[in-house]
Amino acid sequence: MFCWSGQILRIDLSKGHYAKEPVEAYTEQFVAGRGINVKLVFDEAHARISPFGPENKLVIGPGMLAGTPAPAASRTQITTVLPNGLLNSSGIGGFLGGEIKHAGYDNIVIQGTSAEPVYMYVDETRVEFRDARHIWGKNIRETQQIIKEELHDQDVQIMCIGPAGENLVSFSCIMTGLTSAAGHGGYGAVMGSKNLKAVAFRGRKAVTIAKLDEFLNECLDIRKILQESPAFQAMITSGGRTNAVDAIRAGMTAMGNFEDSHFDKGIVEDLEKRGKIFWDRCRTGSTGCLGCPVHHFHVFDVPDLGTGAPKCAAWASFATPLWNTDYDLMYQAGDLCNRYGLDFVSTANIIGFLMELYHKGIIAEHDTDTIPMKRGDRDAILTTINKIATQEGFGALFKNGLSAAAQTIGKGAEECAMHIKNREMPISEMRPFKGMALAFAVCRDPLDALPVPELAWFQSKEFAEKMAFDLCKEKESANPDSYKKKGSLVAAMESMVIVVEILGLCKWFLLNLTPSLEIPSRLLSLATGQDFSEDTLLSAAERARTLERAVNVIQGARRKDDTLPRRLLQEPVSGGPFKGAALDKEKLDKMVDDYYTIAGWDEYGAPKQETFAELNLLPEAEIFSRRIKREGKADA
Amino acid sequence: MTCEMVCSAKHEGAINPFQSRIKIIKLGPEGKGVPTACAQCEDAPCKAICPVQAISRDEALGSMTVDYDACIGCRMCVAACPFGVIHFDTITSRVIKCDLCDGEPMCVKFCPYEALEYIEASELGTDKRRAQAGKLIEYINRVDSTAQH
Repeated sequence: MFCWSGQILRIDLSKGHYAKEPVEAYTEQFVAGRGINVKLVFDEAHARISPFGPENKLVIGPGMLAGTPAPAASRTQITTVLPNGLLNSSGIGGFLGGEIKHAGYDNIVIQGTSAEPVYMYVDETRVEFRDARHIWGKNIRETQQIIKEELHDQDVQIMCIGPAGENLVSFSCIMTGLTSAAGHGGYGAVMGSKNLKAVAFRGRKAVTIAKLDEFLNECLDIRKILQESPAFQAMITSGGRTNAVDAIRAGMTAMGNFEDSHFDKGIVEDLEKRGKIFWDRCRTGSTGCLGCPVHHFHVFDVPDLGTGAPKCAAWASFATPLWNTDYDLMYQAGDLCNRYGLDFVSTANIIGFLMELYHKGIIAEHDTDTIPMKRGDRDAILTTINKIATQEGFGALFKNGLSAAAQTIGKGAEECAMHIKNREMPISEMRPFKGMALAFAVCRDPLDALPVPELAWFQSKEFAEKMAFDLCKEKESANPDSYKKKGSLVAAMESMVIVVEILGLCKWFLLNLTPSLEIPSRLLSLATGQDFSEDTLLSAAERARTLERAVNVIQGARRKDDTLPRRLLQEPVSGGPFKGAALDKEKLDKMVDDYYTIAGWDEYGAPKQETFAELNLLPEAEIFSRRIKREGKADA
Repeated sequence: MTCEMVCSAKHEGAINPFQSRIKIIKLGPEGKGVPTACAQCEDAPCKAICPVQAISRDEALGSMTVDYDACIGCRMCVAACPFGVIHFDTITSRVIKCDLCDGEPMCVKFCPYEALEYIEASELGTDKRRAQAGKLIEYINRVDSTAQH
């Protein structure tokens, strides 16, 4: 087998055992990465899975092209049932993907719970369970340093949790390196619940390529084409920061806790000026992931705060949603989250929520350990991060996330809780973008299906329409204002993203520049020596989507949860370029209907038997049918 | 790193950074990368120490290469190299080192950031000389314009 490493590793933390099996049975239908991860979970999801139960699997799947010089082929997918009870997948970058392939594995299934804190060491000759009691409590950086020293190897690649994951905070992350994370959703908490502190990889096994010379030259050619695009230049100079400011200028970012999308030109100018000063003063260079020509994790050395590299979301999440334009503060908040292993998006959402409650008088200082949650306040932001990660004081209120905390607080707090399916929303203003609204409502991860044509519309209508047509044959789905054909658009984008996550390519690079599967298809065919058409890849993606939903129906996913917070459905945007934009609940529901139809689900959101059949998943259809009968039919 | 992937690919027919002749050392929390590869020394310690004269200069490329027919795998060259850039590959059980490919080094060709260059050794100082000359001219111009006042 070319390109695949050939093996699946199964680790049982309860028994302290491991076993290997060949990956071949899964490659034809599910290929690799997210595809196989999901299939492995589906096969053994005999009953409803409890997120912190030993039966919950943490599945690690490097993408198909990880470990090759394909541009930006660095990604690994982590699949598990998250604290909100639903199966989901997150990408994680850094240098993990290649190392796992060189250690000899395409997928790693971790189940069970360790009695004592443990970390795993995996290379091509050994799988070791190692004592982690002395590293429990250490932050993300210290953990990796200690493990590298203990193993006498500075080149091990480590995925680990920090104090936030150990404390089962429902939005804690698994991280690697300085700043790469399986973020939003609570992957860290699942790992923490297993008493698993880290997994360290090292590999000396080759990744073989069928048509090696052609493949290498293809990689070079593709990289050069991608490097010539204007979007590429923007990303390497100030990527993240200027993207965030552009989004604010365009009215695409929430102000505060979605309290007011009002576009204030003064804020944009302030951010641009301050951002540039901070960059000039503190930036020391860039770093990035394996094989990526972009390398847009900008590294900073800030007086009194040290070195760090908070990624793009820091410059968006800790800015206008928290009424803040101070870049030192954004840096510090992001770096603190990186050390604790806390997701920026959820953390910022919660701080913004507290600021709104304080502003409205629903809470006062005494509710937050005498720290007033004033808009833009440094103390408010940093103290909240510290207390949530360590689960001290009022931080304990947020252990199970925003939704649970809002219910506990009461007094109208629930109205201010901006979450979808119990996950804190990112600060994207989607009321003007109907396709984005749909993506947020239905997708397990809204960024799974960011409708790129809608975002391109304001630069060039023709370009956007062409992109939409190429994606889903529906030109008019590019129009952000229209509710039509969005099911097609979102389903198509989602499939593309799943393909990219099967292959281990970074979606920001590939999709932002050229949303087409032509390149991945070509690379994969050369690498494997098999014919990998775009359709083959899309079918694998649809199988992954279908089986994920099948698991989630048993997990309790219901049609009524595929919606948006009431505020976004009832209130129009109050200012800025999109003033007056509003969402119509009935029309949103119709878009959800469309999406379900295209995805091949019934009106309750359960995959239909025909859908399984079309995808050649007859055994899975039978299994799902039996599970539904036992658990009760999915209802509205 | 990309260079390690393509170097090993060219020499071993498969991608394996462990078998790369060029190794990137990452330093500091931000992992600043420093490429290390054979310096092709004029008076090479590896050649001097080899008991069977297996290491010699390829006149065309200027590189020091290993004759695997003569090499006995004693690894004295690995011990002698002051830079640690000749390696013992435990997979093939032989010493490996940079041989400049066939005059078109793969690492240089593939590096996404153009961090590696393959240039004439006599040109090593050219850029630095030009930069320094530029500074001198700048200074002279400043002094001249001050003197005129």
